[in-house]
Amino acid sequence: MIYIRLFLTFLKIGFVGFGGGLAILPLIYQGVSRFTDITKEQFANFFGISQATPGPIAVNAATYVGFETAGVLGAACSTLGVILPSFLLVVVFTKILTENRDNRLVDGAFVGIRPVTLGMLLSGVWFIAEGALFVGTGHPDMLGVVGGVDLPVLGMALVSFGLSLWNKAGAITLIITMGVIGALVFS
Amino acid sequence: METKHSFKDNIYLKLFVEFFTLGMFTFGGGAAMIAVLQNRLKDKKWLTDDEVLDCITVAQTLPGVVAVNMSVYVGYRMKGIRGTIVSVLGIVLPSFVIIILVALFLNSLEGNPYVLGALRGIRAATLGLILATCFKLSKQIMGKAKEDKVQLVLTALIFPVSFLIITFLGLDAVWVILGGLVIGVVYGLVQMRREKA
Repeated sequence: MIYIRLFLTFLKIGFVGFGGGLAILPLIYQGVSRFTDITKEQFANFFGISQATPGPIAVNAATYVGFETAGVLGAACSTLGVILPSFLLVVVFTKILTENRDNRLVDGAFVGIRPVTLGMLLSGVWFIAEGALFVGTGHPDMLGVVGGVDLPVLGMALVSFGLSLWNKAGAITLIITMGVIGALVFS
Repeated sequence: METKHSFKDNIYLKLFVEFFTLGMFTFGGGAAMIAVLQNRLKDKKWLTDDEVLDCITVAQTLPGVVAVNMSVYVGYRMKGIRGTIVSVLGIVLPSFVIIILVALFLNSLEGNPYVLGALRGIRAATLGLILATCFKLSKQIMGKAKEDKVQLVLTALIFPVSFLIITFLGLDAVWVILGGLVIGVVYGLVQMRREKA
């Protein structure tokens, strides 16, 4: 049955998908193309949609694929599938962790992993910067792009960075403000 | 007389609203989610700064969707299983509704110049936010590592090395996390031995 297959496919993706984001999209396509008639075009379309919609990318992908193949109930099944592993693993882990946080080995593990977490975040900055700042020289019509660098975006990013670092503006306020400015100025 | 709690003070409602807001306004996946949640939790006093750091570490270390992992962690620490359920509902609901609406009514968002312009602005804000979070977290992590010289050296080495490996060698982050885990556990063992001696 399509609903059960969707649920199981996304359950598997939820269990193996580390780090999340766009990296899991090929995994999803492989998983669902075996039993649904979702086309490559439909799926490629989601790449564009995922850039333009808020929310966790994996959840968005699950909802999209589920809906396109089996309607609202399909969307519910695949979304439930993709979040269930997070739910189970993090609840069990957090419970165990709370009771053993002071253990030397547990604390040691955190000491080792924390800087990796930081490296992953900075890597995220790098990839977003690559896509957002270095737009290439193929956009002569885009306002403020000089030598392939999106200067207004660079400026807005620096302002956001400063305001956030010195706690002058909240995250959501910044996102909405910059979005509105972008819509007015760049359109 | 029984004290009346107003509906607005209900912690379950607050958890739901917090994660609904996160899911509604955060674009660009895991790193952006971490930055926005870290930024917002800081002022909430729900968790200590160290607990927020633990939350981020756990969310990136365990498999699953990073943002959902964070919502489960915070929900569970605040109000157990029930807190977890409302937090997860909160983060999933905006995605669920928005994606279905987009699939129904818009086959492509790429044509609209206002949407494109807004996205350029949002990407700029996201970039600045994640970078600011990197700064704040590195300050916090380095501050904790100062307790012990070995820990300070390990932290100062693992951070840039893991960044370089993930970014430029394209190695899956899982392996770098496992590497950090092994180094950290060995560090913990050495600490235990030192204390016994």
